[in-house]
Amino acid sequence: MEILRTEKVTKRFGGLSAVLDVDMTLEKNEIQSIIGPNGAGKSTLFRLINGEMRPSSGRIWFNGEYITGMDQTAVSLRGIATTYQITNIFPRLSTFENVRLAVQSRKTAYNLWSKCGSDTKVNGKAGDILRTTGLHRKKDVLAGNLSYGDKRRLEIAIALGTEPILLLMDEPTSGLSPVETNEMAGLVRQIARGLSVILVEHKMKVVMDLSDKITVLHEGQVIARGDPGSIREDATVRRVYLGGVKV
Amino acid sequence: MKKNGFDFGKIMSWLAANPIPLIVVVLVIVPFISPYKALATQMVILGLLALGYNILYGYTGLLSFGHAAYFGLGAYATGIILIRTNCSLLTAIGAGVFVAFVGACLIGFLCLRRRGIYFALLTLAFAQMLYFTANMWESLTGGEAGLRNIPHPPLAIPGLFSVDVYAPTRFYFFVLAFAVIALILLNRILESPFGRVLQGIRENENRAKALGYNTNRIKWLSFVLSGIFSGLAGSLYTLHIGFVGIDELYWEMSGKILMMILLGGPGTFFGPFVGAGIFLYLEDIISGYTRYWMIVLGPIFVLSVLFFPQGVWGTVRLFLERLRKTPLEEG
Repeated sequence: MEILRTEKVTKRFGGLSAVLDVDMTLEKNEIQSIIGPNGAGKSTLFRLINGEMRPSSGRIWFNGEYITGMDQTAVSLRGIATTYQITNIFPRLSTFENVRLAVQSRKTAYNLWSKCGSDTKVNGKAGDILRTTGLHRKKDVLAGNLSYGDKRRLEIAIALGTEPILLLMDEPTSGLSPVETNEMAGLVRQIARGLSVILVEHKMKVVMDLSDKITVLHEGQVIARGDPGSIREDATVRRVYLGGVKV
Repeated sequence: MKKNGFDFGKIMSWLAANPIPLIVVVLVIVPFISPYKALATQMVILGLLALGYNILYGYTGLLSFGHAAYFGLGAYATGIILIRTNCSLLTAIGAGVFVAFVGACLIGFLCLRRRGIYFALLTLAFAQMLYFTANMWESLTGGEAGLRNIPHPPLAIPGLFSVDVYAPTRFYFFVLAFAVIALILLNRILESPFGRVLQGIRENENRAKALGYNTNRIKWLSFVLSGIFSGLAGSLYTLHIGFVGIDELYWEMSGKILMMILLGGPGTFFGPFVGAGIFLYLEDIISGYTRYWMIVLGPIFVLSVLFFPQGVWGTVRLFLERLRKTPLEEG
């Protein structure tokens, strides 16, 4: 089943086309990676899908619904969550509260009277996510005081809190050590069992290991797509991006 | 843990976990230890004002430079309705709160189109607009001379009871009752799902938006709530001094509110009351010696912000928290 489709999606900044005529489709429970050199338009494409930016032209469908031009709040409520390359958390709230707020977003924002502490459903779900992401023992720590690696995990935990159907992950392993990178890849694989993922990633081993399908962007345009094996052998991709590096 | 004997640490730890009884005791004692009762009343009213401001600044992270507007609207509305109609005391207070509510709805809606410093300056601009309007519209507001001869109706429910509440001690407790209700409401709101979203917006508005929260609408609600509490304070202030001065709408008033919050501890529950109390007490003492009391209060303020960025109450709370954690972790 198709979960996301973009048709000729384009974003122009002045004369520059950051994203140009991108067509892509994503199947349910698929992990698709987007690779490409810096400035290829990967993060911009994410912002177009999650509603942070409106495309200059082109159309996007998600889960059978036409979502082009919806704002971020509306897109989020339909089930697209994003994890950010630059850690984007609530620093002076506890780790637990960071995730709890995300879980709560599916339920209510305008309830002024009931007590958060007594909502066992929301709290239980937040606790489960903290266990999945390995942050449970640090639940009372202020998020801003977590180690960098834990902040990266929290980033994912927050996104999971919104119970997404599609998760857009912008370089989840960015800045992590080789050991942490392996752990993160394992976490991505684990959470991807129940949802679809679009992954932007620079570490080729992670991309090759995790992806069902890879799309290669260059100067805003799709120059190749296929399974990891075929992308590895693609001559154009090797020239513009992999640079002859053996992967 | 040992159960007998006088354990200072344990008492402190209990107080840190349950500060409300302590606060209530302090608030009940204040009028009897303050230099005069009117000062204590003023502390509670301005504490209430700072409390309202704290919803917006301390908990939602929105810096308004124009909160005098809602204080002033509440004050004028109550004053005007008392002069012009024969309404009851509670109606007059309700009118003050209502007018502040409407003002905050409109002004908040417009100011929240912008973020950061632009937001702050818009709030200031609207407050100044109200100030000059009140200044010019003499027939309604008394202009520069202010609103005088405001009647003092008794607190009454027709056919049930009627009490005069204006004797100093009685009036203090009358005001305190409103403050306690406000504190209870606010406590509820801050612990509610809505209150938590406010803090999320303060910490990271973009992420809150990415989670699907309609941050613009939530900020607006926060603004309006803040305006309601400030309006209530303004209304009580009119009853307290029996006069509405144009200064209550002036930008200096907005500055004072901010100073009180920063002194007491922004984003802490009782910080606004502590801040208002300290500010007014210092103002009262220092102005007994010199007209230029701001020259003395200014450096105190600067030092406090430099060395106690958490404010007085924030610092006390951290200290109590530390006391509390140590015995609990050992035991």
